[in-house]
Amino acid sequence: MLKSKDFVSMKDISADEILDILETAETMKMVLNNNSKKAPYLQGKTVIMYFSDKQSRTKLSFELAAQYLSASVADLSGTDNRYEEQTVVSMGKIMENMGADFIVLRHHCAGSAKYLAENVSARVINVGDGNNESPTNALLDLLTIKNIKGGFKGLNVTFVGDINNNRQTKSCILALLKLGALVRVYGPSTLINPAFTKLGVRICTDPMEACVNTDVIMSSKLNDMLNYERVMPSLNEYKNLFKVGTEMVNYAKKDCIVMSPSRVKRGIEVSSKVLDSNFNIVNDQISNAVASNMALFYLLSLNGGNK
Amino acid sequence: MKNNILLKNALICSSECDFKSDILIKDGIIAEISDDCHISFDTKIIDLNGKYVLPGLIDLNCEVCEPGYDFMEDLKTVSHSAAKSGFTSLTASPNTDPVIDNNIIVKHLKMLASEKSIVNIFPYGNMTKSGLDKELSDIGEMYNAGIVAISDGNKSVQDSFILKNIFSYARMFKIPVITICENKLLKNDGLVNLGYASALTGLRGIPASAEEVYVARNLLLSHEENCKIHISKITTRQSVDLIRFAKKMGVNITCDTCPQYIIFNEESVLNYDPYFKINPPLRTEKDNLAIIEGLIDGTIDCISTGHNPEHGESKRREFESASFGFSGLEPAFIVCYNNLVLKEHLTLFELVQKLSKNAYDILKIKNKGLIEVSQDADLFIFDPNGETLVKENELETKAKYSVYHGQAFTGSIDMTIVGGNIVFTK
Repeated sequence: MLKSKDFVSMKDISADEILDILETAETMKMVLNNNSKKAPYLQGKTVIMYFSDKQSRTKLSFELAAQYLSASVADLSGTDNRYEEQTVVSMGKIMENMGADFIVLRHHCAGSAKYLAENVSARVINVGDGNNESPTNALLDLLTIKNIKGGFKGLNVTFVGDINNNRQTKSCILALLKLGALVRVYGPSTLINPAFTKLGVRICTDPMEACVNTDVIMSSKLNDMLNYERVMPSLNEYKNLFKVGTEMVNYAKKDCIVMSPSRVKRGIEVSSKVLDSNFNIVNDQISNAVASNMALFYLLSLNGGNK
Repeated sequence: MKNNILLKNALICSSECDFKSDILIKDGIIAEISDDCHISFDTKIIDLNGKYVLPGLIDLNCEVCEPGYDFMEDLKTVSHSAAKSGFTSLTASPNTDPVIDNNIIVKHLKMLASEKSIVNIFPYGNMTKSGLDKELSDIGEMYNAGIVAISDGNKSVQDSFILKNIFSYARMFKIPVITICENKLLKNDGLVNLGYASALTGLRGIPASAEEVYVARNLLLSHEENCKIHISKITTRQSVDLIRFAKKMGVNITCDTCPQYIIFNEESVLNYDPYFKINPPLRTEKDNLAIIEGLIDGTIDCISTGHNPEHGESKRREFESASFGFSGLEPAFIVCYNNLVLKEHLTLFELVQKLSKNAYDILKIKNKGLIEVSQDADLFIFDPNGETLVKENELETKAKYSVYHGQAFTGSIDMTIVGGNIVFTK
């Protein structure tokens, strides 16, 4: 059971609740593997997808998850600039008046999901709010780690890359800390806010410090939308200093896994050798995504909300 | 014909001890302070039963928004808001439309103020033409038309060469140059303090150095040009340290901060409350303490309100797209009283000095800021045992939003008198 009616941030959710979602996701995988692929948990409920960008894979995974649970799905994605002039709450109220039980939101403003959740009775799922968080994507990483490592307590996890501008990384860090993992980060100092230490994260200054005895190395992707010219010298230097390569993996534990996003910059963020090795895991497995989305819909439908 | 008023049993606040007396106001001037004032038949007698009579306050950093932005605020609403908060004088920030950068607009504003405002309005002139940082504005002509200072209109001048020349030119007229300090490149379109707040919220951060670098620059340039400088809205520990050092070195510098930088810190924005989206941003708890320390040891001379009205709708939206506005006039004095006097950081006398006499002295405005015979009768009556409950819809300003909404504060302002006229009663 989730205490809140919404799922907007890893800050607001307890370790038990995260584990609950991950366990439910495992159950949902069984539904997915079933021939009929239908479960009645969201029968009569309406899910509205409200995305202010054109990201399609995440949206697809949520649409399918909702449909597999028998919900009606409608899409109100921001191809129209007029939506941006309106506040997310005024749009949310309109959706609610049309009968939305769930709003799946991706928005360009940090904090917008929380703002919406506080002002509508529909359940809000945050699929990325500006540069803040993307807790649903973090769930996929957590699911992968749990499947392979069995648990999180005492687990050493190292993030390498852009920590400041990666909302998935931030959600993942917040969740891992709650689950008892030890988190280290490593990357250009211009891309790591020193205040992360206040959260309990160790900021490392060399690859050995970052990766020695670690269980999981996660590549934290450079943001395609950003211009890095003024915060670091070149991709060439980045590659030489911060690429997840065999050197880093050698410092780590023998059974260490490397997790990289699906659209990783091969040879820059992660070396080809590591990417092609058997300890590399592309953490964006779409079947995991659908299952964890189904778990979220299911758990949120059990609790909270006025409907 | 102005009313003669006798304020009976008034408590007068002084540096040594408070004392009770009667105050006679005649022809807009404090005519007598004694227990046996000479009254005539037409004298209006008000018994204060020992409530404080304090000198009227002045706000050094206030946007009156006229001319040009009267949909956000106008001289009538802002002056009523001021009177309600004990302010008998406001300075008018020059970032209006058109920008106050020549004598004609100064005269126009003064004319508007005489028609619409119930408190004194002292205009600032913008230091550059149209506020564009490219050419010096007509500083001398504006001075002759009645400006009390030149200011950057809350838009820090980025061009150091221009600023140096402004300091040099302003020295001729012996008027202070009022600047805020914000390096745009370091600010980098940030929204909140760079550090814990930006890390946790994912909102772009503004480093403390964006302010401090320009505090250092401005004090060095003004010192070189031997010009009087006032830095408005300082928010960080290092800014306080720099100014403390500069004062020791003999730089002719004064500064102010705002109540919000004393009370709130970056923790307030963690919930994405757009009311706390202000510029400069709320800093850390350490900075709060340094600001208080600066107020206590006199490094920070004044407190301004940073009243920057924006339309309510622009504040009630997503943090990132909300405006930086802050509705600061009401109830600035009461908030300071609760957070500085009742918490024993400053005495009531010291607080009033920082909101009144010190600021009048910086602007060289005579006969205001003291309760003394022959001073202008600009004053307000303060009941330390009263209570002020802040309600957004009861604010006089057009910026009907407040971070203090729903809060009750100790103390109330019962009456405000400007030039012998009662302009506000509770």
